[in-house]
Amino acid sequence: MKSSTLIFRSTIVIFILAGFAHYFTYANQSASTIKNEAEPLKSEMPPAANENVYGHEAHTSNSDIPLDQDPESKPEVRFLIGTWKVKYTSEEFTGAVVYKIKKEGSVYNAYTYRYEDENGYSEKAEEIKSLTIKPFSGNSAKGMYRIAYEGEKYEVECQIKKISDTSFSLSYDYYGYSDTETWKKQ
Amino acid sequence: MIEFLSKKLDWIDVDYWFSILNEWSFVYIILPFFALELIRYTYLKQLSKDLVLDSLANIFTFGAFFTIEIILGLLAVTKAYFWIYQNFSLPHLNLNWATIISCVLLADFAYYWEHRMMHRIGIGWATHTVHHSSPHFNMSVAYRFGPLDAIMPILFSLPLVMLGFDPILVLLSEVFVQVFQTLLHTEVIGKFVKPVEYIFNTPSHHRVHHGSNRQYWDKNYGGILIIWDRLLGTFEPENEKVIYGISEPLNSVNPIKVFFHGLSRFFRKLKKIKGLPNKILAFVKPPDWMPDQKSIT
Repeated sequence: MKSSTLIFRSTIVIFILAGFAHYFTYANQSASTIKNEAEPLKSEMPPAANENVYGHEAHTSNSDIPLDQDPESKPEVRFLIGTWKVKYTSEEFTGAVVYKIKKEGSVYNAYTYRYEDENGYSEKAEEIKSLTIKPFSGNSAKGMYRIAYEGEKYEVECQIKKISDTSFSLSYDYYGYSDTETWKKQ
Repeated sequence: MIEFLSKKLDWIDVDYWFSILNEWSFVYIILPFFALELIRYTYLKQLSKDLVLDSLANIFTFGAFFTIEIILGLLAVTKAYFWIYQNFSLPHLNLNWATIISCVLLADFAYYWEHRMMHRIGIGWATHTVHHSSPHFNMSVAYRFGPLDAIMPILFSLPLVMLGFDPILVLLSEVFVQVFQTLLHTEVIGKFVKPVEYIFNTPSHHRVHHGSNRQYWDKNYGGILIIWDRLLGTFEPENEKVIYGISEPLNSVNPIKVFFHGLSRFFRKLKKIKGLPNKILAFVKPPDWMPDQKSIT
C-alpha cells in the first residue's frame, strides 16, 4: 500500500475518532450554557452572592494558574479554585480555617491558609495539604480529607456536594464518626 | 443517546472500572487461563522443561520491563504527558462515555502504528524481537518484553494527549489495549464466528502475527480491532499451521539472554556496518536492511 494512502486513511480515522470526542464534549458544554442562560443573571442575584462570585474571581489570581490563562477554565474549575472558609466547633478548636484550593494536574488540593479564632483574630497557617478532590463533575465529587483527632492524623474518604455557587458541603463517615462541614467561598 | 454519551462521569468511578478491567483481570482471567493452558499442555503431553523455563524467562523479562517502565514513568513520562497536555493540546475533553470510547479506539489505533513501527524499523525490532522469540505460544508469552518496549509507545500516545484527552485516560486506555492483547496469546481458542473475526483481533489472528512462516511476517499488528490491519493492508488470515518464533531462532531460556538478545544482535549488526550515516540509518531502516543491499521484505 502506498504511503500516501496510509497517511490519508490514518488521518481520516484520527479525525473521525477525535472529532467524535470533541463533538460530545462540545454538546455537553452547549447544553450547560443553555441551562445557565435559563438561570438568573449575576446582576439579578442577591448582592451577597454577586460579591462572592466576583470576589472568587479576584481570589483566583492567587492560585497557581490565573483563570484567564488556564486552558481548563471551565465553570467547575472556576467554582473550586480560590479561598474557602470552614467553621469548626469542637473541644479542640473553635473558630474557622481558611483553605486555598488549587488545581494540580487532574485533582484539586486544598491547603490551610489562615486560622481564625472565635473572637475574629487570625494568623497565617502553615501550608498543609488537607483535602484532595478528585476530578469534579460540576455538582459532586469524591475526595480524601486529612483530619486530626486527639493528636492522630487520619485520611478519610469524603463526599463533596455543591450547595450553591459559593458553598459546598463536605461529608465523611470514618468508622461511625461522621460529620458534614460547609465550605464557604471567600 | 447524545445525552448518555456526553454525560459527565466521575473520575473515581472510571478509575474503578478500569482497575477491574486492567489490574484485576490478571486474577480473574489471565491466571486461570494460564492454568488451563498448562492443563492442556499436560493432557497433550507437551508440558516440557523447556516450556516451563521459557515461561519463567517470560516472567523475568516482564519484571525487567516493568522496572524500566516505572522508573521512566516516575522520572519523565507522566510529567511529559501533563506538560504536553497543558501546553500543546487541543481544548481539553470532558470525561464522558464518548471520550472514553474514542480514547480507547485511538489508543488501539496508536498501538497498531507503534506495533508496526516496532516491526519495521531496526531499533524497534531490536527490542520487540524478544516478544516474538519464544517458540511457544501461551499467556506467559504476552509478558515477554524487550528492554526498550516501554519507550516506543510514548511517541504514539503523546499525540492522543495533544488531541485533548486527559493523560490519565490515555494511560488507562493503553493498559486496556495491552490487557486485551494478553488474552490473545493462546492456542486454546480456535476461531470465533465470522463477524467477530472480521472486526476484532482474536487468538487466531494473533497466532498469525507470531508466526515465523514467511507469509505471516509483519502481519496483524492490531490490538483490539483487526479492522486497522484490513484498512491498512497488513491483514493475513490463519490458514497454514503456525510455526512460532523468529527467522533466526534464539534457542535459549536464559532470561538475561532472552531479554537482551535483540539489542546484542543489533549492535553486532552495527559493528558490521561501515560509516556513521549508515549506522544511524540502521536504527530507522527495516530490520533486514544493510547499506549494500535492498530490503528483503
